[in-house]
Amino acid sequence: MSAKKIYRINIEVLLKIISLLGFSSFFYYVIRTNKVQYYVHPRVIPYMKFAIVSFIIISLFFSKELFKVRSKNNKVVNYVIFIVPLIISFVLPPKTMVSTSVSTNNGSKDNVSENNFIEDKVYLEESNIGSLETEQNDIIDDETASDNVTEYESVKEQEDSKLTVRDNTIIINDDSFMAWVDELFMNIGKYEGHKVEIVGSILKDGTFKQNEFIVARLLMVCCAADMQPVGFLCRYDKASELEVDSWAKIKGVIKYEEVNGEEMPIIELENIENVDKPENEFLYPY
Amino acid sequence: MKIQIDIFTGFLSSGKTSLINKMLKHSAYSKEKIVLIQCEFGEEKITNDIVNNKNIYIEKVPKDKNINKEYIKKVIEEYSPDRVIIEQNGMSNLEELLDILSHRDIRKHCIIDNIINIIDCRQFRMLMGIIGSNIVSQILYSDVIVLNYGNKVSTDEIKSLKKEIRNINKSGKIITMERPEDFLLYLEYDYKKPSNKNITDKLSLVVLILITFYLFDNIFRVIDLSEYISKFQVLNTVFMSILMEAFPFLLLGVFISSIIQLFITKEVIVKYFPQNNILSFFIAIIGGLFFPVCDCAIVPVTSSLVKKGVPLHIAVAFMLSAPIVNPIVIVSTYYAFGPVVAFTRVGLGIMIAVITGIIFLIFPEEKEVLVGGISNYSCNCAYCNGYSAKEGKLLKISSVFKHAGEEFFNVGKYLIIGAFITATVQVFIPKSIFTQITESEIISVLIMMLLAFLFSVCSSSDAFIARSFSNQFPMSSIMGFMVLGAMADIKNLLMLSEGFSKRFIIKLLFIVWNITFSILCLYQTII
Repeated sequence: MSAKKIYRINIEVLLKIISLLGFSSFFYYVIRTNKVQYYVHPRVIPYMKFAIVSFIIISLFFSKELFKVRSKNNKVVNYVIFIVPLIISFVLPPKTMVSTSVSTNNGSKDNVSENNFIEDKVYLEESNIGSLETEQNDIIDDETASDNVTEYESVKEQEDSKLTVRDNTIIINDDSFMAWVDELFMNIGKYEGHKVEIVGSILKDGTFKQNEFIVARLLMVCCAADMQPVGFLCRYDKASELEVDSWAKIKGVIKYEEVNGEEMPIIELENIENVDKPENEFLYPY
Repeated sequence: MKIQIDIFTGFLSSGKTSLINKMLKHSAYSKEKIVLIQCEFGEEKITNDIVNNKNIYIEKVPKDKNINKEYIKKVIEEYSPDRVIIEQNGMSNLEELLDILSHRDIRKHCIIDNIINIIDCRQFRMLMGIIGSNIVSQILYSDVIVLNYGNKVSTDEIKSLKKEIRNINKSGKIITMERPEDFLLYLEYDYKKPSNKNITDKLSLVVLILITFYLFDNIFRVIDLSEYISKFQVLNTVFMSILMEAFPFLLLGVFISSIIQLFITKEVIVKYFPQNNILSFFIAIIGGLFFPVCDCAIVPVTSSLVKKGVPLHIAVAFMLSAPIVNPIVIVSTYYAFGPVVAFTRVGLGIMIAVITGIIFLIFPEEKEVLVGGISNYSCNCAYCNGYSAKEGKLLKISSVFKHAGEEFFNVGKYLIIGAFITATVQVFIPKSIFTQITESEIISVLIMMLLAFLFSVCSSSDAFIARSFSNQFPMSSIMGFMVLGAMADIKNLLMLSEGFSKRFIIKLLFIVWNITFSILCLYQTII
């Protein structure tokens, strides 16, 4: 009979250990380099740490079997399913859905994705308004609306404290971003003429007017799958010179105008300066 | 050249000795100096011409003695053979023998060539019931499984035996034979086979991996130009993010499941599990409160409960309700929507779980729902078989981890496939497609249910996702998303297929989907 499996090391156990340690080192690597923010909400990090420890412990127990000569006749393909995604993930850096939709539209190659982006744009603005349960609530039937409103009130109370206006200037930072988006979209006209200071990334594509762009932050509800841009439409004469996806600090004046049939706040630019990407690129509403 | 070791296992009178007789007469072994170690003596004897052969020595191990390291060493030193054939006693543990053989001192001189398990087709099911775990480990480690006396049972029986064995041993050769002479055909075939086939197999795998790596590297270099690659990059990010969320919970699930496997015996379940249906449904639902795990963790726990003899309808009710009544999910729903919605979600979830359970109670499954039939009632992995006999605490703990690891790979494989499908759906089908078709409430309920099924969001965080839809969809469809998503989605169904039969999974999906839809329609009219 044929001589086989002349290995000193049990290949199957080796593959198992490689997969386990591979995943734990990948998790460790993304947490350490803070790349984890591209993948999941920070609340998942403790769970991932638990996974890292469990993977290591399990592989320690498996390591005893590494020198057992006989394997248990499982198919090697099983472990390829684990190892291939690992290799790919180590090689390919993470990328968010939104930044591609913008970058692919850069040269306005195809109309489909452009349209998608407009939809996105409108959708994101709508969803912001919606997430506030503002006047749109009357569409939803009464009972649910009342639930939502009471719940919203309590959230609002907490957020109100974040809304600071100094010398007629609204300063929007990470903590107050969502609260201000809510406030500005909700109270149409209230802040007309106020000055505003905001940091965000620049979003635009071929469908925007020459002097328009959006200053936006990416919102992560749960993980990379549900990333959404949220922000304000800006007017700036040299908007076309701005680099998409770059980060900027913007100063301007708030005006209310009708865009696509809807009244919304826009920022008339007075000053723009490039800034570095902030440490926490994303905002977490929940 | 190292000493080759062949091991023959199988129950008494399954035909081990006959096979060895045939094998020793085969020309392939005529030049080798062979020692045959017999641990079992049945009716069949080694034939005289073999006994008289100068190149073959027969060592008999008395019944009350076991083979140990020293014994093997002694045999090797005494004869310095080319090959040692061990005919193992069918009742003794193959794993122990393998442990002895993998000892460093022996490994230096020997290598295991083939492990052959011989099964008498007529006895298999009966023996499986009595010494199942022993047989499972024999099958598990064998390279060749011989189904002897294949002509004495029906072809259907052979088919189902093969299926069961394949379930335990994924890659070994299974041959059916009617007479011992048939084994010669196999030997003939095997002998002609180029001996390094296995090495080239593995080499080609390495080459394949290298090529893939090279290709990806190349693709990576042109990434700036390619829109598709950046799509793929997004896909991979989403895919990984799902794994990051799911793996911790899956680990928790497999830990709990292996503790159940190893520490709770079937007898305990039978003895303490209430016979009263109402009470046991109640326990199934309350049970979820104490399992703070999401839907991906519940699958391995459920299948180990069924293996331990918990009635199927109760296990189903538990599996469906646990991801919804668990504390993490309740808190996150409360946080996203407030108390009324959280309470409604739990209420609807329990209703659907109980109704589905009752349907399974009234129309019980006639066919076996677990893949692998009887053999599955004891765990297939070697960790809980061989070692459970030895009652060492440390060994038990080590088996918990090893078993958990084994199960992680078994179920995780499906999780990865499911996550990949879900990620593809999420990346290539924009959510706006779904949000645009909201004509009537009924349709929007269906859409949200479909969305929940396709997107397979972990139940611990789906409330937040549902929240982002709340302004585009009425509450009843949001409820559909949150209730169905936790109970049945792509990821879960794939994971279920690791342990349960396809028939059962399809039936379950059908029932859950229908009941959820009907209950939501009812809910819609009430609010």
